[in-house]
Amino acid sequence: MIWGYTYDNLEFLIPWALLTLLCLYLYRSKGGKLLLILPAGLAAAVAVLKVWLHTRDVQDGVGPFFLLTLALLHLVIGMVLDARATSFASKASGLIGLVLHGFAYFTDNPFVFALFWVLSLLPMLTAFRGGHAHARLVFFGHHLVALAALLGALAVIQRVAPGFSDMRAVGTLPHVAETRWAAFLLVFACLVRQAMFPFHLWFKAAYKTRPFPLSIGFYVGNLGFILFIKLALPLLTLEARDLFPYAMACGVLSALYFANMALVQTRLRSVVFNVMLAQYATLYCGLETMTEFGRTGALFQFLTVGCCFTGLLSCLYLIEWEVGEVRTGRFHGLQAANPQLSLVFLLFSLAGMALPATMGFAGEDMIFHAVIERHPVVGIGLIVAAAINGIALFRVVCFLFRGTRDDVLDPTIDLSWWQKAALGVILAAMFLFGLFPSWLLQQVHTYV
Amino acid sequence: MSDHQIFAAALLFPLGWLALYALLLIGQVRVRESFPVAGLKLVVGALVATYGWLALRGEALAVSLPRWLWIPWVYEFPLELRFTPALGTAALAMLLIVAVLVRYSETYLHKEAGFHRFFFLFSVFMGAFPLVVFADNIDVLFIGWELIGVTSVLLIGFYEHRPKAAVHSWWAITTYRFCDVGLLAGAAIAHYAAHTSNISILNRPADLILQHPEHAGWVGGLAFFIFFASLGKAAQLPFTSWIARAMEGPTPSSALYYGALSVGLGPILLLKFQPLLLHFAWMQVLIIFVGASSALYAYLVCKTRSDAKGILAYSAVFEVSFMVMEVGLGLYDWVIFHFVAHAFLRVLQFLRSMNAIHDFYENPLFFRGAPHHPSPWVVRLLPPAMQRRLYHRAMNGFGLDWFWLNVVVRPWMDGLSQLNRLENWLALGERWREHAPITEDEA
Repeated sequence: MIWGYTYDNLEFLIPWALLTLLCLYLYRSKGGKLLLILPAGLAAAVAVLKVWLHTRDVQDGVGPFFLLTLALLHLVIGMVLDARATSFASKASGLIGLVLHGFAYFTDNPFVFALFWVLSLLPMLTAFRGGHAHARLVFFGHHLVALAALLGALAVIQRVAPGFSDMRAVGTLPHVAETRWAAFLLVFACLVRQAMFPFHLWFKAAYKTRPFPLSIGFYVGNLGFILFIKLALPLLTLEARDLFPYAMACGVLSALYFANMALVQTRLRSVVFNVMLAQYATLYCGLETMTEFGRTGALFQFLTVGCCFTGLLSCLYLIEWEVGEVRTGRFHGLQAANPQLSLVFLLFSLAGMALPATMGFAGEDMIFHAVIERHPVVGIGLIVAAAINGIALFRVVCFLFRGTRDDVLDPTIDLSWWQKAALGVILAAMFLFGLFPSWLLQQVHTYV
Repeated sequence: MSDHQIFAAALLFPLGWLALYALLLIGQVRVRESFPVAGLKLVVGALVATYGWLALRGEALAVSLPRWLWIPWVYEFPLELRFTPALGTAALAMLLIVAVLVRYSETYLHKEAGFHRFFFLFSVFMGAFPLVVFADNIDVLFIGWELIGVTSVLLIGFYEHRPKAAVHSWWAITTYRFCDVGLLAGAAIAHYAAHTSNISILNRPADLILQHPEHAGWVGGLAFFIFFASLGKAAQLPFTSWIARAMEGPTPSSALYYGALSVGLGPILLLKFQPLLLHFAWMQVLIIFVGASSALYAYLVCKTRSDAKGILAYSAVFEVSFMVMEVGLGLYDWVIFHFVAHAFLRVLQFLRSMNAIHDFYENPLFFRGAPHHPSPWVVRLLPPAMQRRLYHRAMNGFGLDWFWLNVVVRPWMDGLSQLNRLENWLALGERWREHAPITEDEA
């Protein structure tokens, strides 16, 4: 082990990082959109192999799932957006951010993790447009607080267990009052990083003022979520079981809040982002149930939400690229000229609503059952949030694709072969594993 | 091949057809209009033969399909179904109606832009309906229930160029999702309180309470949530007003969903849980009260409608409300008979509705002359001023839409909008425009 990495993982991570830099250099000098897709494609392929081959012996933990989701996101964004995404700096930030997140996923050393927690923020510096000093302040203010909480927690852990450097050995920490404080600080850091209510303002500041593929990439990086799984959750289980109901309350409150807020957004991208936040809040509740099927459902749903919102946001970005920012003021009637895009968007929305026969149904079903067995009222709250999410997503579909088309304002958005392939593969996976979820669920379960 | 296997195989016919049709459409294969018609007829024929055979055998069958969602020793989602001759007969009636509608739609939607979309959604309905009728497990029932809801909403918005269709489909999905909370919460509570979602077991509430006395209160909650879930699809009070809006879709889908089958799923759901519901006297009273008040409401509103489909929609609600009352009175077979008879009559009326004007003036079988709609005798007993007021109130649907929009939705949305503005101010430093005084320049 070096810095919490196994040799297996380093053998993949270092060449991947070098390949990414090389691709960026070549893209800068010669162009070629394939170069932007290659690093994410490699990461996705490795993650799939790791999930498939059950590489539990090398103690990957849940890293491959996170890598898979994030890599798929980058891959689809790279393919769907067809190299249209703003400046080179923004593209480079996205890919470097992916690599930095990848390094964070696979380390078991909390200090190395904290280092990548900070480093992954840096590419975001390049992306704030001018004139949004307030948004920048909110963004970095939140992340400074989260970082302070993380470092504070690590300091407390060092105090009670000097030399602690392996997150897998969290069970060996002494049972003292300070450990409880560490758990509390870690949960706080996770909630801020994951933009849970009431610490979500940074995310709003981010997606409204920057190119949103980058924002979503950063968010779906989920370092808060992985910290929660690797360190905060075991520590809570060990020292502060009585805090679980409060943490779960935070999850359900966030889910209900974001689901409701999605209904009043006037920008359609804000609706989708709010629904996404509500879905991620549901995952926290699943993890906190402390049951095997609750956690399995949460991880399964993590993949689902990642894939589904990758598709939705890619389509939305594509539309906004052509049409400009879409709002709820009128029905855009894009269906007439873009039937394929309309169908794809509708299917992703249905998957986001957890329609039976999509991946979302299986994961949500398990989470609901797990939560309701612990706290029935919280479970009903999650069900209400899910219902409202469905309404909000359908509203987006209606505003985008229904109504009469304005020929002058709404052009036809031609999907290239690449774009169709990227969206088609994700859709096929969502429906295939929705119709036959057992195999994938059993794979996910081995990581719980 | 045993009866169990035949029954299980019958459930796969529509799914197999659906998969084939979906693949052809996704592959952008040029499919003739006659293809989905023939395919659906084939599926209907196969199902009629199967259910007819099983109904004639007169035996109840319980089938548990292979583990669909399963993690060994950790979690299992059993696909449990139960065939009874009574439900089989209802399903046969449904299939006959579908066959008629398929034939009708072939001509009605000929060369229409959404021809294949319509038939695809019809096929999804075909796959989902048996799941609801024969489900012996709330989770399975929910799958069928949700799929029918989604197809219904997509068919309301079938004419995509009409903004009204979008608004009405949004109204319908809001009602559906709101009421579906009941079914999902019911499923979850069943797992919590009884550690099962099998309907046959849940229908023995006395045993459940004996086995799990600590969860006795939740069994009552389960009954309430099931009843709540049925209100949306059955368009019972206070969720009645969406049904008139649902008439925006093509006539065959209105006939299938809101004349015959989808709207009847509410009573079917109640029927499936009848022993559980009737175990609680308060629930029985509630069911009868909601059914009776919905019937009265639908009757009065129906009398004031001037559009044929609107009249038929409220007539359907009137009949469905009676079915709900029959469930509350414990009349099991009556409900099924009523469901089947009503479905046939209403489909006929819906399909004839487009010829109403022609029939009125040209068809000798119809009454000719000035339209005459006498008020019901109870209403005629009232003073004329009150009769007029009642008429106006009924014309406005007794303010049900107003109630939902102005008492429930608008205050809630206003509150959320304020919160959103606060968020924008905090996150982005955006000015609170709505509250800022308008300057001369801006004016």
